[in-house]
Amino acid sequence: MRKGAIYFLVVFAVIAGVGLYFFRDRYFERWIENSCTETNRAKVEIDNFHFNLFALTCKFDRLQWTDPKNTMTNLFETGPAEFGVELRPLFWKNLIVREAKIAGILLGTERKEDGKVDLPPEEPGLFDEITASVAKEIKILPILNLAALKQKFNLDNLVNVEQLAVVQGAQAIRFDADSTGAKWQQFIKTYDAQTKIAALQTRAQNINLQNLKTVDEFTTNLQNVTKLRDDVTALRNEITTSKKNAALDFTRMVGNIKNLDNLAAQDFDAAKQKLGIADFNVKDIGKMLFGNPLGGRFAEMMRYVELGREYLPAAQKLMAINKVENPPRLKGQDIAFPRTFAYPKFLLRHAFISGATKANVAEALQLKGEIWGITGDPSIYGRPTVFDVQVFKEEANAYQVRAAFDHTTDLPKDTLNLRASNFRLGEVDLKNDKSYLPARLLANRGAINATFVLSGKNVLGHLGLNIDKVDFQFSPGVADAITETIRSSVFRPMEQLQITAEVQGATNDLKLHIGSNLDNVFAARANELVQASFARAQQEIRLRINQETAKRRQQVEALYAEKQKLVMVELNKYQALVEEQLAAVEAKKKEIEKRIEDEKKRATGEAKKKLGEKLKGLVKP
Amino acid sequence: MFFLQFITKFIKVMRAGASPAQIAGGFALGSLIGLMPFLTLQSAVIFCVLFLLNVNLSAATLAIFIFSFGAFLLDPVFHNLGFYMLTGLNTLQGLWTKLYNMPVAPLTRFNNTVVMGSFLGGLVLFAPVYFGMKKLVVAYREGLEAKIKKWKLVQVITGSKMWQWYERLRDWQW
Repeated sequence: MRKGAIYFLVVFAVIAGVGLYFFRDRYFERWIENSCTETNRAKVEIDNFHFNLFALTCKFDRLQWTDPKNTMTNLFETGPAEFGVELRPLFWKNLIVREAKIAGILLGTERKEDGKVDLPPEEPGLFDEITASVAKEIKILPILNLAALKQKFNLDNLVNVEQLAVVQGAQAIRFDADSTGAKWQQFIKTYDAQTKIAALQTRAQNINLQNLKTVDEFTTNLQNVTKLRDDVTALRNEITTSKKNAALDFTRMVGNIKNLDNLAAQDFDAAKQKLGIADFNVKDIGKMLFGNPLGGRFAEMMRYVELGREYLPAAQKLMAINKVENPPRLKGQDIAFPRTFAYPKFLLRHAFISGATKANVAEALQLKGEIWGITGDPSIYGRPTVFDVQVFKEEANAYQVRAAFDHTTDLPKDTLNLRASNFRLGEVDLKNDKSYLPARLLANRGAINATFVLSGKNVLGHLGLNIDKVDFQFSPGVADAITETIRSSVFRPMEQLQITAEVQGATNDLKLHIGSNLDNVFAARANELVQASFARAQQEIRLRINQETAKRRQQVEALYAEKQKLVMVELNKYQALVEEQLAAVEAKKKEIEKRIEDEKKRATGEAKKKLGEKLKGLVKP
Repeated sequence: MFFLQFITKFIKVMRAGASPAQIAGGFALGSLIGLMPFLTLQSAVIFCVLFLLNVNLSAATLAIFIFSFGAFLLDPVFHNLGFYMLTGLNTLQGLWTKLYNMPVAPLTRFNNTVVMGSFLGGLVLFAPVYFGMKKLVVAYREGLEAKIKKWKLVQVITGSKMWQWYERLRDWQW
């Protein structure tokens, strides 16, 4: 045995130990910086890292974590921090921090150097989909055709007189009246009842009862009178039938004239159709009023959930079957075996944090809270990462933010809850570009309760906002009467404004619904205005149509009366004449019959007398 | 002065151990180190053994140099051997799992296929290398040395100034 070698080995070990002692801090600092830079895809820098081997504690003066989306800004930086580490995991190069105190956290600080590193850029991920999806939902604004309220209706365009059904109906009636009148006048002319009646009168006059002596003459004349009576009756029936038919024709015209009202109603409906919307319905008015500011806030909140997803990978399959690979020469392949004590590569079990959102104390919000379980291997750690942070400003707003990132299984589930009560709002920009919508909201204080759950690729979010003593401000500029009416009647100062927002669905197809207690007021008022506007237009249309209808009715009624009079007066006259003639003929017939009866009686009497005389001579006393 | 004394003693250690067994022992231990990846606990242990045992360190240095090239050439063989040992034998899985969960295990890197394969290969070759080297040294000293000294190449080397400096250093009395 070479005893002298012990001397060299001891010296060598001492030199190695001294080297390790003096260079360990730099080594650990570089190791942590490289690991974090690779995770963050942007520079992570630590100042004055110190590792105490005997106490197993670490401390550093400053940590700068670059924002990968803006490499001249830090996502956050810290002040001095101190923490203890566990010994056993260090053998496997796993850093497990028991408890840390991290003070002086500042968000969004400026960097002196660019924190960009040469790593492949990240592909647009889940949160780009979410924000794009929400932005798309906000852009689909409900239909509020305010132009309809302002529209001056062109009555001549809506009511084309020549094409009105009532006008065309009246023209048809006029034509009918003319043709019917002409028809019956022609009939009267050709029928020439006057001549026929005169002929019958002549025949009646020719039957002179004074000259009749014998029964035969009476009988012959009776036959003549009977024939005459039949002829007169026939003529009377013809005239009566003609009169009836004429009356029917004219009655039909009356029906057509009455139908003008129905045609007028049709014209009114047609014009109303042309007028446009009958009812006014505003859907999701809340989205229109508050979509832009809430959409922006939602995107901000999702950014923090995005950070969780980015730095806390979802569970990957552990203990994958070892397959032979082809590693580079002299590198070999590391084979994994079941772990009795599974340690994540990095774990921060518990930390107390404090800091501010900005360096400028006057503008910054203070942060204070606790964090549990920050790790790069959540599935190994087995518990979700939890943030419980209070954000506040002295004598002003205080928010409680609680987030849980459960990436212990294949399906990551992230929950973010934000609560605040009695926080000061002040002036809020609503980012509306329509003149009838408010540009700013002024409020005293409010309360908010928001919860978002991102489970896999599905989002479920709910936000409730109660704002006290709300007033609205509009963009400067002249407003027309309709806009001014909406502004003054809908957007009045309110004691409390309640807004609820819900977002649900897959990340690339989110459905956003925003409602408020302003919705119904706005919809009702807008509807009233629209209905009033349309009612006025409808009234004008009705008036115009009624005027045309009355005018046309008057015309056709006058024509009808004229034609009817012309025809019916003649027919009545003829009917009267033929009735008179009939009566005369009947009288004459009765007279002849009476004379025949009288003659028969006289002849019978004379015959009896003669017979009596003859019988008297035959029979002696 | 301490530093000079340290260097002197180191060179003495390097020059010591001229018997065939010492040369072969040094050479065999050097072959083991040369075949394995350097940054492992077992390499450090063998280094310590190398220094503690009374073996020829020059031969060990030469062996490390030669067998490093051998390791490069035999890397695929060692990788396959190591993979088989670590995953192909069910009877050893319990042992590997126990070792894997020991704190010291990461320092040995035993779960690396090339480390395992080269370590086993080195162990297997240890005895043949030792006995082979011993026989070679004996044969060299009995017959080969005189013949080799007559080679023109050897004469050129031994006549060179570099060789003269080496001899001066070798024979220097510290």
